[in-house]
Amino acid sequence: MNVPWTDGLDLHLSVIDTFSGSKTFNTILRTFDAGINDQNYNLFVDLMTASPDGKFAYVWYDDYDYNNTGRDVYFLGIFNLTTGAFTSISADSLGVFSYQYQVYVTPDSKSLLLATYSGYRAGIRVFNLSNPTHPKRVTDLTPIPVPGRGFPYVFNYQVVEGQLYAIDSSGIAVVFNFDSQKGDFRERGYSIFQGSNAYYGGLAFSPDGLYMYGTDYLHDQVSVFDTSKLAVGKSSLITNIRAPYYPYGITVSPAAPPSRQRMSPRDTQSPLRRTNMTPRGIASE
Amino acid sequence: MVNIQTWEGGSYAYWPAFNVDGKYLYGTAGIYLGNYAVLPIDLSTNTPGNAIPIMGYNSTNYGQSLAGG
Repeated sequence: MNVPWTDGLDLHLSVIDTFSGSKTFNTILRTFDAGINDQNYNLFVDLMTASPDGKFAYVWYDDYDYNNTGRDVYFLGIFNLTTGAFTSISADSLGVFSYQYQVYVTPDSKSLLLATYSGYRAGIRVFNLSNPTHPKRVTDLTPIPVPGRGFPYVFNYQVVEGQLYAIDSSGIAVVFNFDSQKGDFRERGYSIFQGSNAYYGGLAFSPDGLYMYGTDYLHDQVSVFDTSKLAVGKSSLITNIRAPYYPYGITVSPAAPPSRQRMSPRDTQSPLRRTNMTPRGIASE
Repeated sequence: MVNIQTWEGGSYAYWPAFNVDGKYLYGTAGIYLGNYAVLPIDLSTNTPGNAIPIMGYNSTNYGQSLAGG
């Protein structure tokens, strides 16, 4: 498990042993230092993700430039988790929005996605990670306007089974093809799934990509959606699961799902019957 | 559904992450006197384990702050 932190002067990343059978379980194995040395102690950590192959950690951080521009400058920092080597690229150089909701690396560790925002239009910039420490821009994805809603603010997104699901927190899902080999990033469609005054924070998917889970934090619940309906505008909401209090971040357990035999008769009458999974094993904060 | 009490003096436990076998859940939090820690939860008993103190601080709020198995 990787955890970023700062003392204001530098950026650090500690690696914790979370293998429960290990003698060093739940202890810090090593800590990497970025070597930034901000004498004004203005460094802040904003976000982090690790590439699914476990080789690199991508940290979004900001450093207030007190002496020169007076700007709060945002950066993508990249730790090599094998060597500890650190590379940094500014948001300006990447051409992306300073305020990222997430730093997203695709499941194959080959693409990085960051949000763009210009002229009240939000988009997603796709970078190639053939060189993991030097992201190379591939394309920009901008959703088409939704009638009555305008351009969706897609700051939350994930790639699952060749589809990119991008969510506007007010309750719009936009679905793109995501085939970096063929360069196919066409928008497939969108749907509006907003409940009354619902706003969605975190986003997670079942491993088979059939279900999307969104935290509806104003209603203390996790909403479960049928992903096959998100691109075609049909009612995609399957159910809501009560989840006090103010659920926001969400993740899906890597543990094997419960067997079908453990499902209730009610479960077998729902679309969940297509898989052995039930919406269990999710955690929200 | 299980709600697990946080640690005494603990504030928010931010964006959660499972370990590789799904037996433990981890969160990050600012805890007593502003220290920063990673908080493990044993999912076999739904009880929190000992906090893992981290030097310095982490300014993430509603964002990803833990990753990797």
